[in-house]
Amino acid sequence: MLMMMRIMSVFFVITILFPNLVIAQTANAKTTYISPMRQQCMDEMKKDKLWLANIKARVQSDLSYEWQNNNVIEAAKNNRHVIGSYGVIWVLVVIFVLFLFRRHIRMMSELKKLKIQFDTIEKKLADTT
Amino acid sequence: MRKIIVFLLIGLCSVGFPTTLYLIFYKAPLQDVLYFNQKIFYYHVPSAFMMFVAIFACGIGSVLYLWKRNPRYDFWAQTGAELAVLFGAIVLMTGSIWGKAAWDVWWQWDARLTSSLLVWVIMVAYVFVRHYGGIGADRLSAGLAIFGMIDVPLIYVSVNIWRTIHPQTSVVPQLEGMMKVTFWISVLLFCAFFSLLFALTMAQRKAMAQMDVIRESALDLGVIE
Repeated sequence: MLMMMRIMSVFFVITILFPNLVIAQTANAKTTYISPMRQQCMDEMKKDKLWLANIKARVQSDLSYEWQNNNVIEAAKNNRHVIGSYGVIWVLVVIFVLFLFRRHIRMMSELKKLKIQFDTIEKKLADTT
Repeated sequence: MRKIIVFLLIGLCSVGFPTTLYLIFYKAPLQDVLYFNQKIFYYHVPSAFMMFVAIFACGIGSVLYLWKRNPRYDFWAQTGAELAVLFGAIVLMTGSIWGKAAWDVWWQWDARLTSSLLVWVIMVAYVFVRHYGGIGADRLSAGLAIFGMIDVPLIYVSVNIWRTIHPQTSVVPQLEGMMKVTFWISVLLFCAFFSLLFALTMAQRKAMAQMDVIRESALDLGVIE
């Protein structure tokens, strides 16, 4: 029962945070699957009035203006995730560019080695002729 | 000509990144559900587009390489794989951070996220096989790349087929006003950035291959030891 209450609470929180998503999901769910547990939940709630009252109270408090307003303020002020995301992008790009640069340096040193070897051979050939 | 294009792309990216950041943080309005957190969208989605392009470059290059055995296509595939790893890492990490902000979880095993992770792992496997696989790694990795390419359409439609917490593909067409402008400018910027990295990586790979050919020829002729 506690588990069911938790699931329902999460559903209500998601409904408030992502109304469009939930509407879309609900529409999809209707066409694909109807849970047999719905009737069971409704029957149980009819029997257990206290549980029903608890759920109602929880929903009403979650839907209160204050609760929503606090969430809006929190979401509007929260910038750490955005900063983190943009930071991660730059770090990954810098790592990739450094990786390319390192490969370039390695290639240049190999090229230099080859050039020295060819120059030595050329010198030897010139000496013998 | 190629140099001019590379310099043009460098110029475009140098102007484009500050411009898009300005548009994202000063011009695009706050979205009415996610508010400030939605700003991640402007780089997250174009990165995903570029990941798809890179995987297709890798996959098509691999198919052509298996068919024609022309090393040029193999360079395409290798370059595509490396860029797919880069843009895939960006998508997965920014998505994870966004998920924490929006859903309060770092990760969800839903269809879109799981299939994206799967294709990224395939691309990482490609890069590792190419690096450590030895003889025959080119054909083995080409097969891997084809599997990765097949996964791309599945990733795209996964949000419409399965019930998932990730937003559906209708988000981008529904953008309006400055949000739409900012988003498409970001996409153009990422196209330029992708092209620049592709051109540089490809040039490097070609130069390395040419150097290998010279070294091997010289070794065969006994000119060098």
